[in-house]
Amino acid sequence: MQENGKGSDSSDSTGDGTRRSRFDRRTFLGAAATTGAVALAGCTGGGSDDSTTEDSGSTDEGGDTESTDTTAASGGKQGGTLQWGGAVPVQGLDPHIDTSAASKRVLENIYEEVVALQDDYSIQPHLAESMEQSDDNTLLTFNLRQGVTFHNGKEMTSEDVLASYERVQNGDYLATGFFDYVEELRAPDDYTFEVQLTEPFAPFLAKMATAELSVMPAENAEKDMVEEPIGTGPYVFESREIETSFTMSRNEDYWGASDEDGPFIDTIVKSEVPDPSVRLQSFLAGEYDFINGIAPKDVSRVEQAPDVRFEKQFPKSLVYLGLNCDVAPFDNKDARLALDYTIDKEKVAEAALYGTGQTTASPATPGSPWVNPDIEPRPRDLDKAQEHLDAAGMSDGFTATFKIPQSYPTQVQAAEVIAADAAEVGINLEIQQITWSTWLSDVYSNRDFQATTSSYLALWYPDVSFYKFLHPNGAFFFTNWVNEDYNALVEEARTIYDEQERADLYHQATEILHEERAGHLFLWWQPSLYGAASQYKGDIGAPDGSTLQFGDNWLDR
Amino acid sequence: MATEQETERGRFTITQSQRDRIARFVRKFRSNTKAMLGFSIVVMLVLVAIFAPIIAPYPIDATNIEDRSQAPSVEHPFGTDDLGRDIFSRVVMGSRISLYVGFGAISGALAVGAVVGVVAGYAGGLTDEILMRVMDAAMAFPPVLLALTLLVVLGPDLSNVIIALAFVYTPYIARVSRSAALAERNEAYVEAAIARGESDSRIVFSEVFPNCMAPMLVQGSLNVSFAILAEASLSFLGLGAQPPRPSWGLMINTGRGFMETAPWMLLFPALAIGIAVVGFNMLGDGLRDVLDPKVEAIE
Amino acid sequence: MSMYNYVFRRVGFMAVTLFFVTLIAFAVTNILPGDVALLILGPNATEQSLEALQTQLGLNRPLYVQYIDWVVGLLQGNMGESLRFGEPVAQLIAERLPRSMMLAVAATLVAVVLSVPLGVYAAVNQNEAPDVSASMFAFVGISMPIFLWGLVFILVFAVWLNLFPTGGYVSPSEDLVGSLTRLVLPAGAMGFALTAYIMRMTRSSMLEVLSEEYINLARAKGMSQRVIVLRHALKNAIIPVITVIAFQFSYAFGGVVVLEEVFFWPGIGRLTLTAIQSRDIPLIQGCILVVALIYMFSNFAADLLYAYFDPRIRYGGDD
Repeated sequence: MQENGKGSDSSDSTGDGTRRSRFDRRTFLGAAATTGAVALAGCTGGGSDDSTTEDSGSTDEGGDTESTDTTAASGGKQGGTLQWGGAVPVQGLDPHIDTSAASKRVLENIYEEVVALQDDYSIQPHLAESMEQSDDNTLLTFNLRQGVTFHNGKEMTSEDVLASYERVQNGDYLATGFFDYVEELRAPDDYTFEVQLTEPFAPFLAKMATAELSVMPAENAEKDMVEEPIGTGPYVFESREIETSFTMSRNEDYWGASDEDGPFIDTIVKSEVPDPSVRLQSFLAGEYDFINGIAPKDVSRVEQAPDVRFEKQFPKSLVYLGLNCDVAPFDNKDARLALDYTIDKEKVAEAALYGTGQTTASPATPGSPWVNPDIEPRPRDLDKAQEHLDAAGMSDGFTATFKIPQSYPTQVQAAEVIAADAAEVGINLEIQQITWSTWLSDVYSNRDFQATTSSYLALWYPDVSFYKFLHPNGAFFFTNWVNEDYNALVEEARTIYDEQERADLYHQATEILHEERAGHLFLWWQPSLYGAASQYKGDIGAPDGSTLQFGDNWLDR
Repeated sequence: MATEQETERGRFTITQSQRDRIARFVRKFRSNTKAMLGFSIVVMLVLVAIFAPIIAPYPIDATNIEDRSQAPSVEHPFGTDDLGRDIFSRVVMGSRISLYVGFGAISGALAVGAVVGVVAGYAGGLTDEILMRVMDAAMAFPPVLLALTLLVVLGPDLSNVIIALAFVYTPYIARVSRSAALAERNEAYVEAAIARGESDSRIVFSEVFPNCMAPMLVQGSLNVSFAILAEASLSFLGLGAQPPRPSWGLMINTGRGFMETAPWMLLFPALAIGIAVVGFNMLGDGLRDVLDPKVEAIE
Repeated sequence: MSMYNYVFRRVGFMAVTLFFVTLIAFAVTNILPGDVALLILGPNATEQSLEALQTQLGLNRPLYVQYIDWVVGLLQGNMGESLRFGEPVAQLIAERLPRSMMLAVAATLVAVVLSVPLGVYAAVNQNEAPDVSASMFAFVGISMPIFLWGLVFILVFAVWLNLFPTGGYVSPSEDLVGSLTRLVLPAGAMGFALTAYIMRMTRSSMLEVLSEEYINLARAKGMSQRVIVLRHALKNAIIPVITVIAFQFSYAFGGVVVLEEVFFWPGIGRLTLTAIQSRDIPLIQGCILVVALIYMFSNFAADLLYAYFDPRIRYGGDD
């Protein structure tokens, strides 16, 4: 899910890259290899179309996990109330169930996990002091921190961790599928937690760093659904009024509290202001200290506004054109290629993103070793498009419906440009704006579509990029593009330790995606866009690029 | 309803009295400023819609990112939108959509509503009760809300907008035509027809029906303006016309996001809707005055 | 037929209408596309869990059983639970309804404050410049849809003049000033649209009263125009105006769906839209039922007032 939405996207709870994952296959990689240092310094600007944001400090490296923070947050001022004008309203409050980025933005501050994702995309112990991995990579041992208390005052022990994990293992939660690879979960003493895997399975540790395996008190873990979140995080849930506001307060007893790293702010009030124009105007009028989800078209206004800090965290999400490879016309590779050649990707990205994004031909995070440097998006070439139309036996073009989730104006804009471009060779894409729920049921679940657009979030882990939505066994697979060579490559990649070797496989896989014109035609990577008042200090964002961590933020009033 | 001449006129030929009536209608219509003004606006709209492709200087779908969000100028009298399309051309072409929906929906509503209303009014009794209670129930929903719900069922599409709006406005037509039919029913010519032993359906369709036309037309022309508005509202909510169609409502929806930087994206389509709606309202109002000041249209 | 009989008959009609309203609300929402269970569980739900949830939600029972259950629940004040929010529908509506009411009432107030003096002024200066311009104003007001007024108001007063926020809602108990500044534009826009009708009615009602005998008598007695208009004429002219105001209130309420979307006002209109967009069937049913009820009852109240005040109405005549 992404947040460029104009706001009626309050229903999009499960469209993002953080949905439940079922890894149906194989093998584990050493933690070191899987979490490889991808060293992506947060914002790399707009890439080739070069947004050269001359804004105040947009090179933010997306916040830091509360206490493992290493960048100097050089001591903030304690106190104050942060008024946050929020984009998409907070949805469910059970971290093991809810998938929306909007919920994660608050839950990230309430709940914590045994391990945590870092800015360099490595995974470090968090609620654990240390972790060990057996030589065969099947036994993970975590030494939990002592003196960590839940918001209800109770100390966190291995019993709570075990109960949280068993809840997911035995129930029907987002990460339940991952437990197919778990032989046993153990809590040999109060501060030791062990995961015994059936076979090496790298993605498990990465999954442990997500909210899908947040630690909750054992008594809450017994509930089917948690409505009042109780975690160990720096902020305590206070109250909410659905689609109006959400309030959290500082955790006085936070285990990781320090003068350097906070938490500092007393109260965080998120007002739900789904419309980007209203949000921005209220922010510029001084009603909020902070807003997220600035529309790309408004970036220049924010940059020009006095006393306002504009922050861009790149990349947040990958937007793609989805083509159904099971039904006409896009079951024909030449039809897909013909369409590909009609699209001017730079123009499309510019139309939607006003220079804040970057085009791509790879699902891997820009700047990561998994990106094949030799593959570029196809340039617009109407002659080639016509050749492929001829080859497809559709010399006069064809007609297809183009289902666009209406809550994303950027995707609607892109769709209009794409449709106008494609029409020049007789490819008639009929745009149909649909609600998010219709997208989920018709496009995603029933695969009743010809062409569509959508996006994926949280692709910091390469297996998510290459397997989760492009392999037929992947949890998000829906464009019906099947290629055995590709599948073999990405399956093998999950078993490789060496970064170079692994990257090589992903490069080959990308080549196949490109040559065969897979059902996902990647359009662009886009950033998270934030605005902060001058009194709001500290790094904004979280390492995953889409959520928020307020732990080390403070107000200088 | 009945005027003095109606009872004595023949049934199948245009009699002198009818010709007189038409002449009188034209005379009254002409002297009614409101009716004439509304009529002129509507005629102008229809002309614009017919000759839209000739009037529009640019292709409406051609995007041009370099020229996006340009203020009104000689080249682009209404400016350009966020994708660099000429707003004047789009507003001109958009008149086709508005009129198509307005006339389409109301023709549908007239066809169904008139039959329901005349049958209810003529038959009376239980038939009347049931039909009218159903109509009441449909009228108990705010029109846009009902159309919205129907559109979610039918799917977002212009032809579905027409179906939904036809459904929504049927009861309004039905009510008016029922009252008219009720009045006609007691007229001498109907009783004469009954006495002649003519069948009910014949009486309804060849006697009663034609005489209920006036109030239905008034209501219909008022409802065209509502339907145009409703189309704009639905497209504004994303459930009506789909991009890149130049529906005024859709253009307003997009323009709303650019109010600070490109207000012309919103203003010109809004103005177009205003003119169209004022036109049909004036025409309807004027018609009501001309045809029969006592006709009560539902607003 | 007496007034009582008339009321009785109307209530009877209402009951029947109400039955059809529930039927329509139920029928329409039950043919909505999109699988609710799928929506709740997300796209990776297994067949079994989908079926289990459908059973749990009662979605696979025959429709008439679901309808009867729903109506029985309604009679007990239970509107079911929102699938999306996981909270009782009645509670969600109770939370939003006052905000919409606040908007509709404020709009009606704005309309009355603007329209009654204008109408009186127009009537007193019949066929002169003020009257003609007021009529023009009324006509334009009627013709432009509420949501367009909303957008124009936002453009002029929020964007250009920067006097008010463009939208949003703040609870009056939290921040009274913030709340009121946000109320001004939507209430103003809606009130403006309503002004036209009420003004028209005030004008024609005033004209009628001003031509009555007793007014002439008062004039003959040498009473000042001011006293005549304000003390005598207006008092009598206001009655039909009140009925129009009641009608307008229902109209205002019908307009909230789009207007709330324009101003991002989290009332029942936006709740309905959200419900529709997320296929939250119990919530859609609850919302459209409540909106229809309010719409119906305020129309009904207006009808009664109208009948009560206007002796020309034949009770028991066709409605």
